This record gives sequence, C-alpha cells and structure tokens, in this order.
Amino acid sequence: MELQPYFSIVTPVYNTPLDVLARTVESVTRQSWRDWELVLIDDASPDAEVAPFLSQLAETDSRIRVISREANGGISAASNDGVAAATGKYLALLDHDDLLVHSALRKIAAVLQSDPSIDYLYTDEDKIDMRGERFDAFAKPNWSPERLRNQMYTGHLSVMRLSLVRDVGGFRDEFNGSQDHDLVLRVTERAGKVHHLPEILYHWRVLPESTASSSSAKPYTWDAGVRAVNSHLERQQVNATAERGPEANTYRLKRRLDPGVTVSVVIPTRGGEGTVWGKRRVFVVEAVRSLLAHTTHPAFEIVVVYDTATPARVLDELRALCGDKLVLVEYDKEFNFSEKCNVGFLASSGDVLIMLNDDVEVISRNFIEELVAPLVEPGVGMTGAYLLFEDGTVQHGGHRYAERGYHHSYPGYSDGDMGPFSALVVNREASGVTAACVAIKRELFGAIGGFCENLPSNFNDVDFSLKVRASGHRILWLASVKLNHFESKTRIGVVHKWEIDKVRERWGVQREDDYVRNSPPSVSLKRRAEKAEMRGFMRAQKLSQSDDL
Amino acid sequence: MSENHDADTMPSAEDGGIWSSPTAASVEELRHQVRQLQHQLLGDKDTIAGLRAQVGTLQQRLDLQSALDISVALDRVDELEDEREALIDLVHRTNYDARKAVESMQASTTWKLGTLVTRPLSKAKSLRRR
Repeated sequence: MELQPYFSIVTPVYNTPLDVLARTVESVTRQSWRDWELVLIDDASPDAEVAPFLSQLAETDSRIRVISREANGGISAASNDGVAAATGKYLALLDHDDLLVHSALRKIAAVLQSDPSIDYLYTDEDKIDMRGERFDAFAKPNWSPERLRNQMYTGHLSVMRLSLVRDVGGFRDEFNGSQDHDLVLRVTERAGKVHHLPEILYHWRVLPESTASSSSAKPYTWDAGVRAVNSHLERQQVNATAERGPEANTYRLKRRLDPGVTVSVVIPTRGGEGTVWGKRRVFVVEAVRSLLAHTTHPAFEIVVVYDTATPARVLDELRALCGDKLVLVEYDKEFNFSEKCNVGFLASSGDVLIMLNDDVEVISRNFIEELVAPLVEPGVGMTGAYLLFEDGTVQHGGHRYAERGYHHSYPGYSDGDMGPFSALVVNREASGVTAACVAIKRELFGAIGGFCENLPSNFNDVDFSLKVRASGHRILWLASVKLNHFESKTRIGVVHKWEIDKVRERWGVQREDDYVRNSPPSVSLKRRAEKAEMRGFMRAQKLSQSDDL
Repeated sequence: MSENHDADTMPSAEDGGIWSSPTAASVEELRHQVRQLQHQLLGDKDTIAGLRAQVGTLQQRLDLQSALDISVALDRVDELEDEREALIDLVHRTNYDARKAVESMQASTTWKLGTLVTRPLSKAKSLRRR
C-alpha cells in the first residue's frame, strides 16, 4: 500500500480577480486530505494587487508557495516553473479560477494508495458560474485513448506522477491553448496505468471569457490541439493525420489503409424487399450498390450468404453488380444470423472481415478504408459504425451495457446532433458495437469462435463484443463511418428472456457501462440547501433520540 | 529412387492404399468435410470462450460474496431505515406545523375581524358572478 500520497497542486496565476482566486485557494486549504502543497506561479500579472495578495496567501498556510516570474511567459512556461518547484509525488493541475471539491484529494489518495501503479488519474467534473450554480456535469468514460485523440475529454481534475511529467519534458510552449492535452497525450503514452475516478471532484469556473463558457471562445486552442494530436500520432507511428473535427476542440483522424489489405464483406440475406422513402427496394442489392459507390479500396470480395428461398433475379442482380468480387454461399437451414455470419467467414478469404446487414445503406465516403484502417493498430480488435434510422434519428452510437441490460447508446438524437460532450461526433472506445456493421481481423474472429450460434437472433453481437474485449482488445465506434439502417423494415424486434439469460450466464449482470455513463444532474443551489437542511434535521433527530436515552 | 505422386499411379483405396483417385466430386466432398470441421472448430472455440467467461463471472460472484461483510450491510440497512423513518416524521411534522399555523391564524382576532369585513364582500362577489 502506498504511504500517504503527497500532492503538488500547480496553479499558474495571471490577473485573476482576487475574490475568485481566494475561493480557488480556499478550496485547496479546506481539503480534508492534509498532505499537499500549493504552488502558485504569478506569470507577471500586470494587476498590481495580485502579487501582494499572493504573498498574503502564502503567509496564511505554510503549504502555499508562491513563485513570481519576472516576465510573462505564458501558460506552459508558468506551469513548468511550478513543475520544477514541486516536491510532491503526484502533480495535480488546478486553474486559477476553478474549485476542488472538499474531499477531492482524500478520494484520489485512497485510489492511489490501493493501486500505486497508477501513473495518471482523472476525475469527473462540472462547471460553476459566478453565482455558484453548478451545471454541465460530465460523467466521463473510463480510459478511452481513441477518444483522447479526438477530444481532450479527461480535462479536470488531472493527477499525474510528477516524475513521469518531468520525464516527458513537462509542458510545451508551442501547444499553448491545448498544452494540457499535449501533456496528457505524452504522459499516457508512457503511463503504466491510467485510472478514471468516476466522481465530480472539480468545478470548472465559467467566466465570460473562459474556455469553459464556450469552446469556440478561443479558436487558437483548437489549432494547438490539432498540432498536439498530430505530434502524438507521429510519436506513436500511426499512419494518420489529425484535422479539425466537426465541433470546436474536437479532432478527426484521417487514417490511411494499405491497399494490399484484403477485405471480405460478409452479408447474410434472404433477398427481402420493402419500401424506403416511398420507393421499393431489394435491400441486399441496394446495400451492395451503396458499398460499391463509397469505396475505392481495391482488394475486397463480397460474400453473400443467402437463404435458399432468395429469388434468382436478386442473385442475378448481385452478379451483375459485383462481377468477380462476388462469392455466393447458399444457406438452407432455419434462420440463424450467427450461423450465417460464421458460414460467411468460412467461405471468405480476406485478412479482415466486415459483417454487414443487408438492410443498410452506406452513406459516408471511403467506407472500407475508414472502417478497417484502425484495426492495423495493436490492441484494436473491432470497429463499428454510426447507424441512422430511416427518419434520421440515431439507431446506433455504440452499445451501452448497463442497468442490467444491453442498449444502443444515444437513442433519440438526430443526425447532425453533437450528443452529450460531443459523443456523437468523435471516434471513441465502446463496450460493444452492433453486428449490422463491424470490421474485425480474420485471426481474431477465428480465435474467439465467431458468433455464438446458440444466440440466433438477438444479443449475438453483445456476446461477440464481450468476447472481443475479453480477448484483451479494444472496440472502436467510428463517428466518421455512417450508414442508414432500415432495421424496422426487415425485423420484428422480439426479445426472449432466455436470450438475456444466456448472455448473463456467460458475462454476468452489467450494471454500469465503461464508456457511456449517465451524467448525474448538477446539484442546484436550491437542492443543495434542501439537502443541507435535511442533514441538519437528521442530526437533530439523532441528538434528541440520544437525549431520550 | 524418386516417388511418383501422379494420381493415376497411386495405389487406390481398393488396392489397400491410402490414396484414391480424386475425382471432382470427391474433392468437393472433401472440401465440404473440411468446411464442416472448421465450422465445428469455430463452435468449439465459442464454447471455450463462453465457458471462460462463465468461470470469470462465477469467480467474481464468489469474490464479492466472500468480501461482503454482513454486519456492514446490516448497518447500512439500519441507516437507510433510520433515514426513511426520519423523512416520514419530517413530512408529518411539516404537515402538523402547517395545520397548526393555519388553525392559530384562523383563531386570531385579526382573522376573525377580517372575516367579518370580507364576508359581505365575498357574498356580493358571488352574487355578481351568478
């Protein structure tokens, strides 16, 4: 067990309103955990009142240290002065106008004591306005390295091993504005263990000019972030470049796929047809047509596993569309989606498999390239896509395994919505993805035994995803790979209890998802007052009871 | 001496050899059998993965149960019970206080006088409404 973790809290100060700064410092001095030092770095604030105020603060508590810079050096230089002066084992970053929750350090210390191998820890956070009203609670996902490339989601409160921060060279001036993102990327590249503490232990102050009030308030931070992610990709030798994402301070990775990678697209079908947007269509034919129109990857085959009852004209149309890329496999048994996928796998020859439902329509460019390229990275086992219903609402934004069940995340959102904390526009880790569209390496598919044929209809993708993760691989949900999914047109959604029981028998009951968590409602002032009143009442009750005795 | 592996010179099964002339049909049959074996292997791997997962799940349940200190759980139940009772009491007291406040207000001279003054006005209002 780690003995009493000692924290160095580093806070660069620049022209901070004194009352705000006093609140920030007070949030540290009031910590229930006593082993900390607060290093305040005055980055040559022009406001003449700041320096004497800092000196005054240092006199009130011997654990407060003040460093005064002679010339303004910017956020990275000031923070690096703090890092150099710090004497703790762990570095905690606190902005000059933000607040730590009273129990923050105690709770973090408990985690670090129980697992000293943790090199980087982050907590949940919310925002706080000048009235003290809290809002925008962010229940963050557990460690999600892909998301960190797409968005600086770990944010506050970040605690990292000081020696590691020094090893990676501290903050870098050229990334000012996203210097924390750059640092966390470099620290996590080398970190033995990253840990998420799922509690709000940090309040991010919203001042009219602060980044917290609007992501777009400081556009230079976005470009600094692009540079930071590109620098990270270069260090990690990922064949990709980062560019601005669809929302401020989000990033999109453009990965390149080796044209030599062979891909097998497996499509189970019975050749069904239906009406979409007022027009009749044969689903499998249109799925294949859209796929061919949205890829330039040269090396792929399309393996269609068709029921015996599939009309001959459908097969003829597929032959005409695909030419020698088509492999037809007849399936003459009762409906079993899992078995059809497995049969398709056995008839295929690609290095990578894409399992595709017949009732989808590819709508994003470079479909195969974008879906398959992340699999080249070690540790990535499977990728999935962003699926939309016919009416433009979200059908699939990754799976969410929580509250004793298995769900699609972000139902009710529409195409174009950013989702909570940009979740619908950033690529990220997911607990699972729908088998309506997934890519997986051939080797891994075989190693985990493909789809469970005892789950012919529902939850086979849940079980499949859990097997991929149990094999030590990550699953990525890709916002950039988009398809329409006309699910309700081809399927009656009946779920049987035995199906849930079967998955639970293997994997137990899922209580809280690793990546998609419900944000707790921010506690309003009124509610807090009510709770405090209630606590007082309870205490009084207990006292009166003890008096009676 | 070099061996000749031409199909038509190999000893056939009928001759007691292990090789038989592979006709197109028998090659297809062999392929089919290989495919079936591969399919079976895939299923077996799924079963193994499933059993591993099951073992993990059961182990977790065992760990959880052995780590559970029943006295802590019972203490928590007591605490929650206390809180529930306190909340019920609070609701009763609040209702009682509110009722008493209304009663004492209605018993006051001010209220009585006020009622005397406003009653005719109320009657007039209700008549006008008709």
